[in-house]
Amino acid sequence: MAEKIPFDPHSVATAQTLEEQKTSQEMRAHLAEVGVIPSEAVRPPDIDISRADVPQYKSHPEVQAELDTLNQEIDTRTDVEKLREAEEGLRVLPELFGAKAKPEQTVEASESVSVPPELKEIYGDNVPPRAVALLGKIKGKVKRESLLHIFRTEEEERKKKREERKSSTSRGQKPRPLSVGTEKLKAQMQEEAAGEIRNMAAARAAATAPSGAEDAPTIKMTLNEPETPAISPEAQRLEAEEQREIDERIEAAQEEAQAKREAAEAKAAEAKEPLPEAVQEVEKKEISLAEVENIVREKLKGKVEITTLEITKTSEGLQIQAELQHTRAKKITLKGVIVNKENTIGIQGLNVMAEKWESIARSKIEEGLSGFDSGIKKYFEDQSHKPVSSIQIGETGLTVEFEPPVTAEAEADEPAEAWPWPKGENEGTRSEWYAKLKETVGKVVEGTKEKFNKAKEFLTNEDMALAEKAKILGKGTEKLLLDMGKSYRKAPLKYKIALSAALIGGSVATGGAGTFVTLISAAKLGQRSAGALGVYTLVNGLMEKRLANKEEKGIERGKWDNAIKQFVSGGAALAVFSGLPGTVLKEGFDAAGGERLTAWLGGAMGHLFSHDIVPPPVEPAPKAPVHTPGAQVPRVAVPSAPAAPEIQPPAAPVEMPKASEAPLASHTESVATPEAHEPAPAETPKVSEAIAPEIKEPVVVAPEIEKLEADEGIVITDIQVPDLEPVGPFTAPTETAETLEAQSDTPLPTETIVSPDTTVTPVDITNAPEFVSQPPIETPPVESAVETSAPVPEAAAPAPVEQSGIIQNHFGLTIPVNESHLYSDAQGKGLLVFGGSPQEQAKSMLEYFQKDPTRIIYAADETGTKRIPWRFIQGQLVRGEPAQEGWLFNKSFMKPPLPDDLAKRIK
Amino acid sequence: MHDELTALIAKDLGVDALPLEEQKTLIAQFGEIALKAATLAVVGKLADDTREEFAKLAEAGDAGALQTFLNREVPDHENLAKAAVAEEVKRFKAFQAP
Repeated sequence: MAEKIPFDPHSVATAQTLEEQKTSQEMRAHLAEVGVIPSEAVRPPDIDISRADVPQYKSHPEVQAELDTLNQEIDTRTDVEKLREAEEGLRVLPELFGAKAKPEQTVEASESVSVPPELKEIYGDNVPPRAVALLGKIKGKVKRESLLHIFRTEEEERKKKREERKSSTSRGQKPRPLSVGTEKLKAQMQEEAAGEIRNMAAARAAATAPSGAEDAPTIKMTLNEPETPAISPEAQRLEAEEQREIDERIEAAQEEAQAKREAAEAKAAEAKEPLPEAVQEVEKKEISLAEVENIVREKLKGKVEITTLEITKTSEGLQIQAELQHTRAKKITLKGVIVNKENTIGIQGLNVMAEKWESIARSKIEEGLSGFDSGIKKYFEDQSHKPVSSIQIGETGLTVEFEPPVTAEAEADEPAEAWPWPKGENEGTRSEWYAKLKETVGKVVEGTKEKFNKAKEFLTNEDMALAEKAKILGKGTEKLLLDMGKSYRKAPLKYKIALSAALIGGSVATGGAGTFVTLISAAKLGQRSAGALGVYTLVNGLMEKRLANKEEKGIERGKWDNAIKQFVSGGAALAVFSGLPGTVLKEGFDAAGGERLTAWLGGAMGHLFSHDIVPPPVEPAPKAPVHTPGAQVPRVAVPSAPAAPEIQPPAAPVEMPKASEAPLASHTESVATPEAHEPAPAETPKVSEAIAPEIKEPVVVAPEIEKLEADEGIVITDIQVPDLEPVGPFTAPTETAETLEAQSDTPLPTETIVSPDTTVTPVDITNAPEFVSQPPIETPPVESAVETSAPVPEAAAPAPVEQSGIIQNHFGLTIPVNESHLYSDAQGKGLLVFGGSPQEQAKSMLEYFQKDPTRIIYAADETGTKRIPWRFIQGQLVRGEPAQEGWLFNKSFMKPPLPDDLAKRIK
Repeated sequence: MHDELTALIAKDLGVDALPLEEQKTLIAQFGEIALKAATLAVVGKLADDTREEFAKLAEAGDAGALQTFLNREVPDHENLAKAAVAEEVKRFKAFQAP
């Protein structure tokens, strides 16, 4: 059996002949030169290899040229160099073939050879044996020194080359590219070299094997792809441990990084440092034409009725074309283009054409379409519940951009946008400043709330104190205050404010509309609220018109103008609450108007006729109608439909005849004839005509009034100045006009006042007085207004009457129903007139008033369904509002005096 | 517009620093107090037997009758009422003063 000999590449050469070794060495050197094998693999020749000669390749010119070059280089070298290269080549050769490198045989490895210290100095621990041998052969100090110098120089150069090679390898430098032929030759030579080595190894194995070819070692070598030697279990274990350790380290590093990030975020949150904001896309929405149409409709809602509306895209913008209807302006044609106006949207070239009242129509539409962009904004904000940042119009139509959503954190915490940060002495972190700001704002809000609550508490305490005070003054007063409070609290807030304004204005400011009677009556808002609303609208519209006229003249409207308009309107409404007669109101408006109206209202409420007002000149009324209780009384002409008749210009000025100037005969004539009972509208000028020049056009209702209407739920848009048909003044039948002169402390310049002390002559029916009926302005919703607008039957029966002429009531009182008498009521306080004709009742009242003009006498109205108070004021019998019972919503008209109401006959 | 009127009254009452809605609430509440104070000031001047009559007239809402009655019974009722309201305004403002 053949002996197994381990493969040793280093021993390959031993199986070769010298010639073969030389050839092989040359070939290796060439391979190393062309980059096939590393230069370290070039085995140094054990024999003379001074010449490179590869006969089998000499036929190749390129190889021959390479060999020639190689030989030239070899020729230039010293033997030592050749020796060193050979040694180096042998040393690295095993590595080249993938075998485990055998430790280089050094001099130290050989215990038998002593190494000169000079060589150790040059080579270190790896002293080549041949260097030791050479040095050993050299005798003489100079020669030894020379040889050592050569060794040293060579070693340094060698080291230098190694370094360069290593550096070039590490830099990834590639060897000079070979030609195609050289590449082929290279591959061929590699194959041949491998075969040669295999052959040598096989020959060596055969030579050393004791017997049997089957046990010959199988040499498997791959020149280009050295086989990776398998690692031992121990190495695997170590490797696994190392990998585990690496994994653990990575995991620990990741955990540490996460912890650091969390800590940094916490720190940033604490310092309120703004984190990088995410890029937020701006949301846009294109508005369809239908939506634009909806917005336009919404804007014009309540102003005009839209018959047709068309919106089209044009190069300029969105064109609006509409046909509208208005109660006064009738048909309106509207054109305009919605365009960009600076940073907003507006309507350009607004063209409004109306059949009538074009200016009104235009103002209505302008008012409606004003703030068009805000309308769009509101429309989409209501729809999307997101704030709109901008509105633009382009070729595609309208586009709205929504503001980016604000994060809940930012909203709750602080403003998202950056704001200038305080620097210098007060420098602090953002969070500190925000906390301070929040604290300050909180204090302000808290302080405001506290102030409000304290004020409310104070007023509540005051209310309780007043209630206690009222208790002391008696049950009636207590109940009065209680009911007053109830009524007041049920009133709309706007009227409470108006009432407060009048109260404070009357006490704090100079003047004011409010007087005590006004205000205490105004507290009873229920029944008259609708009428007051009408007046409020009327006055407000009137004032608005005046302000608008001022604006047309270039006088800018100030805040005070607006306030005074509101104030006057409120005052006028209060006046109506108080039951101020409509004629007085209208005359006041006519004569005073504007800012003076406030002062006039104050006077009017206090004295019924203002001292400031000088009524228009009085002319005799040739056929002034006579009105007596129960007779047909001309009433305020209240428009019952939206298309109310417009106020006409006056045919003649209002004239109230002075009794002193009026011939007595004319009075006699006017009251004596039956014709006098009929109204003579054609002959009697309307009081309202006096103010017609001021309100030639229908009143433009201000937007806030429309809002008021909406708030109160009462449609008052079309309220007009009511037409009043005043009758001539009553003058008591006296012998001379002089005796009729009033003896009042403040005689009115144009009014005749009947003195209580004046002797009254017996009144004949034909001289029946004319009662000045001064009904208040009322609006359609008011119950009384409806009634008064209807024709009134003349001289309705005031009470149940027996034809026999005498009845007896439950008091046992005998009552002659055909005779007019005055009676006291069951309580003995009220005065009632009952029986007879209206003329007779008027005569009875006049007679009584001559004795006591301060009393009030109640009579039946012309319909016989209500109780009317009559007073004697400034020489005239003045008819009051139908008396009512109850408060606010429980109010009702009192029934006329009936036989059972009569407790005692006075006259 | 109405807010401007409110602002004017609020300034008179010294509550103009408050939010608008709170101003309105206080003005409305003050109006009731002022009205009652004015009424009591006038009623306080009436004789016992005429107070009931005043209450009836006020309840009836007939301003003319009321005016006649007051002119006769309390000729200075306007000044009384104004003084009562002015006193309430003064008290209200004094209460708010720091």
